[in-house]
Amino acid sequence: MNLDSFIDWILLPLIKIGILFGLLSLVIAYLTLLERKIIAFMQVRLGPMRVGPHGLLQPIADGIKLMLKEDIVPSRADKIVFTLAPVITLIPAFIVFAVIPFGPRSIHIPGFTIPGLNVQVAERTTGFFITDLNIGLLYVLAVSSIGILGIILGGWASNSKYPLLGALRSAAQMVSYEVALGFSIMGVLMMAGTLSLVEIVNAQKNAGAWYVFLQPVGFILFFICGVAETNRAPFDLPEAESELVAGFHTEYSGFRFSLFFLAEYAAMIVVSSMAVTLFWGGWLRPFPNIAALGFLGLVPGFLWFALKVLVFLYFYLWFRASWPRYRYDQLMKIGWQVLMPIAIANVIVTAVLVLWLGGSR
Amino acid sequence: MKVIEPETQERENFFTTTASSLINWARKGSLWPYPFGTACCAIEFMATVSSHYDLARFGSEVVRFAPKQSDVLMVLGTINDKMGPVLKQIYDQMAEPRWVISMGACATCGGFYRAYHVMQGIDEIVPVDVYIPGCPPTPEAVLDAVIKLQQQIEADTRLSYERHPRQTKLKTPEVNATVHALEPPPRALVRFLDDNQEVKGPIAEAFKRRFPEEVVSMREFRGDLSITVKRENIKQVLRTLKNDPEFDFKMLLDVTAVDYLSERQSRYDVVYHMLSLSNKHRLRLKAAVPADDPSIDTAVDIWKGADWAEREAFDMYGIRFKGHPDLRRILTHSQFEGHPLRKDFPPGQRTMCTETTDLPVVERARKYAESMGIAHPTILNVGPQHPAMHGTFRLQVAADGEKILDADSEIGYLHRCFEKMSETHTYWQVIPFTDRLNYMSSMMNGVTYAMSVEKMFGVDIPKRAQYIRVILSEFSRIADHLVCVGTNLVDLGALSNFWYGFRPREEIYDLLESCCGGRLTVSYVRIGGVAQDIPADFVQRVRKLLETIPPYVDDIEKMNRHNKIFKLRSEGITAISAEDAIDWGFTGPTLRACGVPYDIRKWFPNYDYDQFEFDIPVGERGDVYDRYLVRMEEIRQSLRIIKQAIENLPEGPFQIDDRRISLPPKKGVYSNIEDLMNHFELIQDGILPPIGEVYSYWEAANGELGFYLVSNGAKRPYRLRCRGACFYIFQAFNHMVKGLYMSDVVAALGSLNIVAGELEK
Amino acid sequence: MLETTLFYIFSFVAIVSAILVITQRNVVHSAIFLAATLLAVAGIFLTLHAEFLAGVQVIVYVGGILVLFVFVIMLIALNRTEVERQFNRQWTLAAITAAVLVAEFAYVIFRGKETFPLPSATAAAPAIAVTGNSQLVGVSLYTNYLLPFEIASILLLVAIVGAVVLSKKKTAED
Repeated sequence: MNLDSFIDWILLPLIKIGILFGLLSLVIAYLTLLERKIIAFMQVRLGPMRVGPHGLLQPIADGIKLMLKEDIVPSRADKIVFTLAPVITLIPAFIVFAVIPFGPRSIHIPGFTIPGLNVQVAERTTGFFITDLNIGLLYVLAVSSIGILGIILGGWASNSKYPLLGALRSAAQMVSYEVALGFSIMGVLMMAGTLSLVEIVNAQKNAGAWYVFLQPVGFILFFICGVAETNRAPFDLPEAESELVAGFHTEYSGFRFSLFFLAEYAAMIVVSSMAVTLFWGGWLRPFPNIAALGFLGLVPGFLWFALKVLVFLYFYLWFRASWPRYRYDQLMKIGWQVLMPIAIANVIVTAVLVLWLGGSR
Repeated sequence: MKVIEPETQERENFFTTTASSLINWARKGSLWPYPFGTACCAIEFMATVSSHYDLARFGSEVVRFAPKQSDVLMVLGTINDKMGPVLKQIYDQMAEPRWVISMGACATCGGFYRAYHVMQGIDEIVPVDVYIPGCPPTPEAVLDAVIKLQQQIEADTRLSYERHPRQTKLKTPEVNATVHALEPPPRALVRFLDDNQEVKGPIAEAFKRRFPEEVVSMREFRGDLSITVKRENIKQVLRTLKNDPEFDFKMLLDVTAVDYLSERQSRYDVVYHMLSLSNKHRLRLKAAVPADDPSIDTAVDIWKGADWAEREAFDMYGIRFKGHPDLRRILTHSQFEGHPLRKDFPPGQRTMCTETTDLPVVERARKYAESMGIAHPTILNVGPQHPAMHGTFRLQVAADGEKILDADSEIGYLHRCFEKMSETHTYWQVIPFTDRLNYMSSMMNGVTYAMSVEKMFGVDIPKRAQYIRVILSEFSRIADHLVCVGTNLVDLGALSNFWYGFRPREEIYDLLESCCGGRLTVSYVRIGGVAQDIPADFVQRVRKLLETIPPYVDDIEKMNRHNKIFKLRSEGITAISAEDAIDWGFTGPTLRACGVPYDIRKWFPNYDYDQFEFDIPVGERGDVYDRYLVRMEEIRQSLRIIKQAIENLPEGPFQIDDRRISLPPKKGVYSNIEDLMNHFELIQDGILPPIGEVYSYWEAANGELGFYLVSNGAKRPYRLRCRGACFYIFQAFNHMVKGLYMSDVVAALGSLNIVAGELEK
Repeated sequence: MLETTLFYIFSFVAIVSAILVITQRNVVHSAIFLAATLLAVAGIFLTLHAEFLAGVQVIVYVGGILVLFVFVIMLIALNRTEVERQFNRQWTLAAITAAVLVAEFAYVIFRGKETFPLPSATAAAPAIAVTGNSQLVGVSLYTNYLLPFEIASILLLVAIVGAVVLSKKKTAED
């Protein structure tokens, strides 16, 4: 293996993974604070104020506390599965981020010579993403579908009734909504003609319009299903506090519980990122064709991306503060009888239009 | 536990102190509470979480109902012997490090419930870190306790925590067990009750015509018609009373018993109170039951509503209702020994209760499954410490997945022996106990209780006192409805409504506080009026409140009235027909949601309610949605009543000028011997009502609140029976939820406004 | 070299987990090992540059079918399955069958070696990677294999209708 491919395939990805992992952990931790602050704001309260200025260190205190809390494994639980389950949920939630493009392929690393060794390192360009898979979208769907297993197994391994009910609810919910979710992004796929997430964003640039304007129905379906996939209000049945105590993680304490917690928030970020990438032009800035707003181009792409993701996260929290949750059977009914037909109709209409107008290819 | 010596290990000490201060910093900043709420204190805890106080500032708003994920067990309210094992179990399940805050006098030492079924402080079973005094403590006190706990944690040098097993030790409260022996014997009372009078009136005459053989005695006292019949044919009499259009007593208000000890041949009286909605008549029917065979025919097959009331009479007096399908103890623990309301039962005699039993539904489901040859359905235990069960109710369901096939409910986890306590306290001392019945609108309980004693005296209180009672009661009704709607919506997942409901509630608290110094349990009412005159700026405050409350109500309405999800969750859920509701004994908003416009304020008006202009909102289907609409509209109507009352607030005394009831003016006490003696006597003996029995009733926030008072002329009530509205509503609950989903149970329970204090007395 | 190593690792995981799937007494444990097997097979697909197949393998088998497996396992009474006698106790018969099967495969591979020459890895792989194998799969499904594809669809449709009818019938009896 020569040096260039070592840098391309091992060194750069490792650096990126390190940065991303650190950032992501921080973002997830502060997402919990954001949630508490925003919901407090909506409820005319202040939210955490005492731990650090304006409660800014709250997530850190929570994290340390959870890690040091006694780790209880119920005596009648299936111990191996009980321990494995949070990990099964957490790992996919993190490795999904490998293909999400936070910004364009625009990082230039100039060529240089390592002094002393006299080795020439070539100039290269890399992007704000760990890798650009040609099946990126498929990868996201595939990996995030594994996370469900952890939830079900966690609920089952607890050997307790409420977690089991929570696990059953989430299994049914996630499997049903995954189908509609898959259908809702078919329109985007047909228009972009690629499964690569980077290429999908580029296709939106070339098309001159974000896909949300060409696929409004698809976007709405995607976001509804995405909220349902992440078990958030108004679809937060698997952990509905007033019904199932704490749902599938009722029997988990301390660190293991926090793993489920992290996975849930990571999943929220994934769904928001996917919505931004597929429908809201990813890292692209708005109004590229209005000369007066040219200064917007000075803001780097990944900041645009972060901003858009934040908007969606805000929606998540807004939903949670406002709406009651659905009942189990109503949720299923909406998934199969409302969202599915609309999603299929959307696919057919898009297919016809793409063929008729000659498509983007 | 390892304590590191500071002098000897300096280097290690540096590291460990840094680490431990970091850890302690994290632990104290992230105290997630487990709210073990049972009673009034839980409502004050809710106020602590609400916007005015905002527990979230300390990072402690992450309320976890899973004990393994919580750090501090907050025991909010009375823990009785039935709840004890539950508390112990929850505590044992918590992960170390864990702390316990005991909120309020009850959790700390049993409070003023020195009674047969109340734990005299939770430190009998769990170790406590911080005690909060107060009954209930104010939210400031809760915040203070959290800060105190944080200071404790900061000073803690332990890095690891070990589990300490703790033995249960039973404290028996010292109560004057022979208190009844000090009283004059009820001989005069028995003579009074057995005395037969010639009574006029349509019901009395019709009754004499129909059952000439059955009548033992008949009497009218303070407008209450009371008929004593023989117990042998009670079933036939009751059936005729219900079904004959001449009587048409479609609603059985209450079944209870009274113990006359050895003063009478038949020791017990079983007492039925009933109401005819078509004729607007009330009737008290009594049947004497001897001590050697305390049994009588059941009325369950006539009125469904007799079910729990008969069980309660069995529990309290040991009277067997023949033919009752499920005659078990209801309020006390299944291991409890004795029948506490019997006059010879010592008020403070506790029984050690440890076990948790299955309800009959388990056996039923097993039998059914075996007879059908199918797999056993899942048995799911919901409560008493389940977030949707509001801390004190237990439901056990046989479920097929999420669908409920069969259910049974159990109560008594907050049975604090109110009725026994009132028999051991003077008339004035009972008022604070009444505050803690329906603690969400405590003013109204006090008013109703005071009304019963005033009725016993046959006096009317001054107009000003009446108006003060009306205004504050209507505000209490608003506050009650706001909590009910708010918590119901939280149970459905719509969080913010709770906070929007608590803000105006907090402002109502301010008004009450300005009148009497109390927020939640006000104790403002006195027999014969109120404790003191309203403050000078009362009218101004009320006018301001009348303006500030509607926007909050509108906010909640805007969020929910046309909310698709809310409608999906609430429409048609536990819809109940008017006939069924009446048969169960529903009253209040729950009955009105079924379309029956029964409201005591309109039907049997007192306190100038007939002069106020207001409407009675009624629903159509009697489902969760209609109950929500009725409550929201009642809030508006209450505001209308308050507006009229405050504009016409009369001047004059706030206390009745009756030397049997009210203390003489201080000026008189200091200047003449008559007033001084009078003052002494009232303070020494309290008030001494005449011999008799009355039933007084009022439209409380969740239905007809009734007090059946029997007086033997002594300073303590001989018998005080509380007819709580939700007792009759909640007994229908397990029948209503059959065939529904688990999530519907949550929606339904919140909409019924079951308040444990009143339910379990 | 790397690919061969990966292939052996994945194959080892797949085979070991597959054996564990059938030998575990606890059904849920079997399901977990099944997941491992399926993921290992997806890994093998990846080493063959069949990314699309790998993705689909994970989505359909792990995310879909396996979740449903576990779902059903939880719905039925688990305790009973642990007590009941299982069918994996006929080791001799199973071993003989397996041996015969292996012999058959070996024979077929040995005889047909000339007719199906293995393409050299260096030649074929880059070509597929450039075109994108999603397109290739799509094209071949809708051209060469259109008939089998449609037959499979109809078969699945029949299965769905059958499942619906079966579950409907049960509720009608109740």
